[in-house]
Amino acid sequence: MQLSHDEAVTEDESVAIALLRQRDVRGLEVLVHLHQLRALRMAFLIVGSRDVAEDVVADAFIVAFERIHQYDPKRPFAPWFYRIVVNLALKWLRQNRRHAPWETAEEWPCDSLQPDDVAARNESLRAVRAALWRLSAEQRTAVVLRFYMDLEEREIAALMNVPLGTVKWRLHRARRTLREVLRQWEEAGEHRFLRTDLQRHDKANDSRSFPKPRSTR
Amino acid sequence: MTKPMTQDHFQSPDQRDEDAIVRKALNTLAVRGVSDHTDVTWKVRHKLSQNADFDSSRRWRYPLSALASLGLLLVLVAVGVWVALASAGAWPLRPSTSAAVSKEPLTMAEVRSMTVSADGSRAAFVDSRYRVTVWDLERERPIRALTTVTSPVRLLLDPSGVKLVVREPGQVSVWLVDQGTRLWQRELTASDSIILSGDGKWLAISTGVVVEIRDVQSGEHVATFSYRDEGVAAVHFGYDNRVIVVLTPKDHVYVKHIPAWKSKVTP
Repeated sequence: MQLSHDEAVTEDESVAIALLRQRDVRGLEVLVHLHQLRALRMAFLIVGSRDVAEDVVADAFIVAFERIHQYDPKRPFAPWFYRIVVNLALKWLRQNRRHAPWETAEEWPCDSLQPDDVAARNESLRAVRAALWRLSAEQRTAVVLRFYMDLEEREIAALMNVPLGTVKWRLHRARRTLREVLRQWEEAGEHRFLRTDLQRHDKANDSRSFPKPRSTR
Repeated sequence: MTKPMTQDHFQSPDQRDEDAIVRKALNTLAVRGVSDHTDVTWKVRHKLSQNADFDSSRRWRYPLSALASLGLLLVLVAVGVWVALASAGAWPLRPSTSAAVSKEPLTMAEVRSMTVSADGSRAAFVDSRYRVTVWDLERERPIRALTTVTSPVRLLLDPSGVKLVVREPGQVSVWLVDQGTRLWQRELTASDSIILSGDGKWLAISTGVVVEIRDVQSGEHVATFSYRDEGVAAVHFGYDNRVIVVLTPKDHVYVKHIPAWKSKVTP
């Protein structure tokens, strides 16, 4: 897999991986701490359920532990691990085709929002969820990897083990499906609800060591 | 130094706008779906220990697997014969008693407490992560969740499952399930107990010496009954929900009528 992340494996990570190679589970705890949040959110967006996402990510850490000898330490750990997460998420979706997506409960609103704002926000989020779930599992995964994980199309192709053209086609189809509902979402002024969340999200991401994609051209 | 070329340079402004919206939407969904404090460490440990148990027992289990398979086969044959006879009229099949209950196990982690609405349409669970989830049992899916700071010790649903009462060690709160809004909350001490009337209209809070009746919708005080001389051992609502029955530690039973009451809160 030729992923273009060029950030070096962090020191904590390399120590953890060395421990894993010695079958020492303490290394796994470090990796869980470093990668679980982003992996959980990625899996959640793919499978549409927090409980399932937790199971998928926990299983992915176990698989990583068992197959750590297959990991090339010269490459970043994150893409290798996320590939496991994506594969397990897609496998779960294949085995649970009747799964009712996005029906896991929303967090109840905080007291600082007015009831009307809460209703509008929930309605917008429901629309986005519904639009996302109209995509096929593969299209949704491509969208999540492209727009949430910020991977380049070439990297997505490598991660999903499909040709580049397939990824381009999946993203094209997904964009077309999402276009209408997301426009409405934008016009509904949803962004004012997002500001705090996005700042918090960015802050969380900044404090983690997920490698940023390198420009490819 | 020129900015490195990325895929964005080949996109139209409209497409870049759309991509930005998609990014925001995904970020919002992800942040709302999985909080910063989510931790799967315990789950990884649990799965690891399961794997270790399986690995250590795999060798001695193997010779037994054939016997286990044979036993399972015999059971299946017996069940098949029974069903065939029953459908032929030899034995009446019992009616299903779990028609409204999900066929699949509800995916909750270590359910600690639960309640079911009187009409059987909804259930509320609290798990080990202090998360209360309300399930629609007819549609077999969760409809609301509430993550509390302290572990809820008791949940109560009104008869139709519309209102949820959450008892935490230091407080009681009442929620509207469908709207996802809190109606009211009140501080309690850890020893206070609560009970909901059969019609879901009243909430009785027993402090051990005093029984206080509150309106579930508004949280307003309705009546207080004092038993300072004897204390309160147990409280129940009467059949018509207009009386409360109080049992004292001295084995006395008191029946008190709840006075006529009208809410001062404008709907």
